[in-house]
Amino acid sequence: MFMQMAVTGLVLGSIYMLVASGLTLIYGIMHQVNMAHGVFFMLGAMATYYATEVIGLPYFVALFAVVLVFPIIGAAFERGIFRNIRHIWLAGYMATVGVWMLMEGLGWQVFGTEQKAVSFPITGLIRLPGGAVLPANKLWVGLIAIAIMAGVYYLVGRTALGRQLRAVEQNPRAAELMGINADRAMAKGFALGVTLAALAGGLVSTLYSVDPSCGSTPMLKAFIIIILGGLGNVTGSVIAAYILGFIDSFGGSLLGYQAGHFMGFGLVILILIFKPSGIMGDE
Amino acid sequence: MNSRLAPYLTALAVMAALALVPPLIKFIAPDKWELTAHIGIKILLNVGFGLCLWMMLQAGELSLGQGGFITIGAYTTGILVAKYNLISVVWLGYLAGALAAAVIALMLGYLIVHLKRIFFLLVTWSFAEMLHPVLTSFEHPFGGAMGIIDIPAPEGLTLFSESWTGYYYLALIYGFAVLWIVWRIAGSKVGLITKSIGQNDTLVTFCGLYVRKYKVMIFVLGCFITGIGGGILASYLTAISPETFTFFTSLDIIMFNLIGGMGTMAGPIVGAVILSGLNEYLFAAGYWRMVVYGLIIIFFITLLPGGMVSLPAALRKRFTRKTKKQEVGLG
Amino acid sequence: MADRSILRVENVSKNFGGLVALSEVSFHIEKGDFFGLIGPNGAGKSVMVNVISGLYSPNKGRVEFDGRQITGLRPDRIIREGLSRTFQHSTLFFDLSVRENIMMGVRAMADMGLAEAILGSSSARSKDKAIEDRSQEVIDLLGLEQQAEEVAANLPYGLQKIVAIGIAIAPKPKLLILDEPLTGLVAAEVDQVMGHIASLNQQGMTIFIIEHNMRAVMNFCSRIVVLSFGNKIAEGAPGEIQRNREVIKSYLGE
Repeated sequence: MFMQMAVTGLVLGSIYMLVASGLTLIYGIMHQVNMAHGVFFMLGAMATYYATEVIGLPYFVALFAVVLVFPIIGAAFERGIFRNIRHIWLAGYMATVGVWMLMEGLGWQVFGTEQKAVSFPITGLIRLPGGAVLPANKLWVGLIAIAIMAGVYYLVGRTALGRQLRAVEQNPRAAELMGINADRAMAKGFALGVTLAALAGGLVSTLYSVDPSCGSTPMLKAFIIIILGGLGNVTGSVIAAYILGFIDSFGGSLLGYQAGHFMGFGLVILILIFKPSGIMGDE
Repeated sequence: MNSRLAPYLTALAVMAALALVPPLIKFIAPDKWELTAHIGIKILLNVGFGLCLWMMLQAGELSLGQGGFITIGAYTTGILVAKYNLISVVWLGYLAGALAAAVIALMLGYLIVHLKRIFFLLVTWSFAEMLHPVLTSFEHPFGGAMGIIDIPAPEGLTLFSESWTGYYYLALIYGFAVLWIVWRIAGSKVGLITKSIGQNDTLVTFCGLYVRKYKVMIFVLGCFITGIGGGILASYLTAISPETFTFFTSLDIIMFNLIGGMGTMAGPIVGAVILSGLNEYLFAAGYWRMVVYGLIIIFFITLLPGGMVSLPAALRKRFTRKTKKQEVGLG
Repeated sequence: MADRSILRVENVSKNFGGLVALSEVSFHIEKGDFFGLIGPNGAGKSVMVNVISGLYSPNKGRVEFDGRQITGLRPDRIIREGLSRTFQHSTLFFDLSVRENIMMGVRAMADMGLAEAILGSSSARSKDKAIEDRSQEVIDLLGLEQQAEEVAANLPYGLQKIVAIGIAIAPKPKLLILDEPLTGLVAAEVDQVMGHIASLNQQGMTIFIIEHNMRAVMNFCSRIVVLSFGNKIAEGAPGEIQRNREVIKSYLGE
């Protein structure tokens, strides 16, 4: 039982990590809290569903398509709506709320209200040491999420794109002086962030059935995580994601869903009051 | 006319005109009155909520938790007046609701007053979100997922043959009372201080004023007033549950200020009238409601950031610019 | 001797992380002084003012104002003790009128309660009147009658600096600290601002000025302290400072 909950916590944490790292990346680079993040999660799930179950593409091809398409969608939103208003924090925030409402509303019209599920290519049960039995898809989804996260670390830490992003995150003006186009870097950061959300959606669609509002809960969790981890701090978010994964797995199993919800937001308030820079922050 | 009395007389005239609405509609189209009263009540209460947030915005605080304080006001009233019958006078229930909201706002405000901008918004939002699991989880005293039912109307409201007429007048008094309070503060030296805090809080400190005191004071007052509105809503709806006031309640209150404009007091009033009116029709529109909401937000943020009250000035500017262009073209 | 001094700074040190901004700095200002604090960029002048006015707490040392220790007090409390200061940047409430800006400085603002403000009681009216009278006095004193109802953001830069001084002197402080009041001003504006400061000093207000404009400092100050890299390197009358080898060295960077 304990092992079961621990592994579930790890898998949940890995998914939260994807959603939250995208969110915190966007905050770090654009100083914008992206309330539309859950929408991109939902769109990723829907795209995966239509690519596999309707068009009939293999699952991993569909995931790859998400990686190709969502950067473009993200960049388009950034260019079209967010770029001109990001210097006014409230306008930036509210604009993302607007995009969330608009896209979720359209989602209900386009995708309908019925629950959709995507089947994962690997099925069966996996027996873990310690007596835990887990569906194979759950375990694989967790592993893929970790692999994607490793890719993100490589991208941000080792590539030219990553250097641009980090430079803009530290000081947009100085980055411009170094010849980096801050506007374009922010568009790239936003594109990367929403792609991570979409990928998480594509993964989760194989575990739970999805509908146009399915992004809300992951987004809420991601908010809790990025505040625990410190806004803009990717590594902090990774750690916080697993903390919340375990809280949800253990707290949820032992005390019920409501208690997990309460504890999550309670943690947020405590962190914001006593250590606004997050668990990894130095203040 | 004495210029100091002018705003009072204007407000009284508007109030009198609004007070004449019920008999007038009942005379012209009696079957339309119930729906009109319903919309009117929502608008007038929302004007109060919107103005409270506007007052906080002056001090640079944006709370995304006002729905939570409505909930606290409503639940306190419901618990004391209906569920346990601890208070027999409903009016005192409203007062208790307001006090509960104020006390919680005082504790929360004291702890979070150092937070700015997005952090203040996130913590107030988290606070409102935390209420839901608490209310749902405890049968006593919150009534669990079912909430609280049979919340009575305040004494004296039974004088009206239809309850909605009574609530309409109650909401009218509430809306204008809030307007009066917020207007008095905005015009006072305390209002000058809050406005200054929103602009440059460091400088306010170095004027020898304790910024946190004023921020907490305004937050507590705003939540106190909002709590009264919550109590009135509890009576009016007769039943409340954890789902009655949600994230969208809080968001609406911000949207009143966004749609109307945050620059002047007229903003949240105009915004509350437009959005509460619109909401009644959008309610039937199902999921299109979200689409319309999204479009409204994006429209105002990108094209009319000063809100509806800035529309005349924006149009004038547009118009004059065009004529200038024409002149250049002709020259 | 002791009752003549209005501000005593004793062995004040301030570090930011590993960076030493102030190291064991001591000086005092006497009542009625026109005191100058100078030094090259990064010498720690603004840090000193921020320590005195309570924005930063010092790692070591103490500050005494008018016979009372003020280290560790909240900035607004220090201001209410009778010490005012201006800022280098963001010195005004730019969306408010000049009159409203100056009102904000008036001491009686702090006494206004919420309930009396809403009800407009007689006590509120008398406080209102006191605030309005005092702000009018300051406006007259600084010659701002013409611009009193204008929004501060629309004023020329020199007048903005004067309004900032107006906010600071509205509470009738015993000591006025000015953090680079002349930066960015043209010559005529410099004379105007310095004229106001000098006449305040003649009326008995103690002045503590941080400035880069050497001509103004040397002409007006009665006593000067020089900081360099967080250390006090000289103290004395303008003539002595101008001849001091240490000071010349630190300014020319040899």
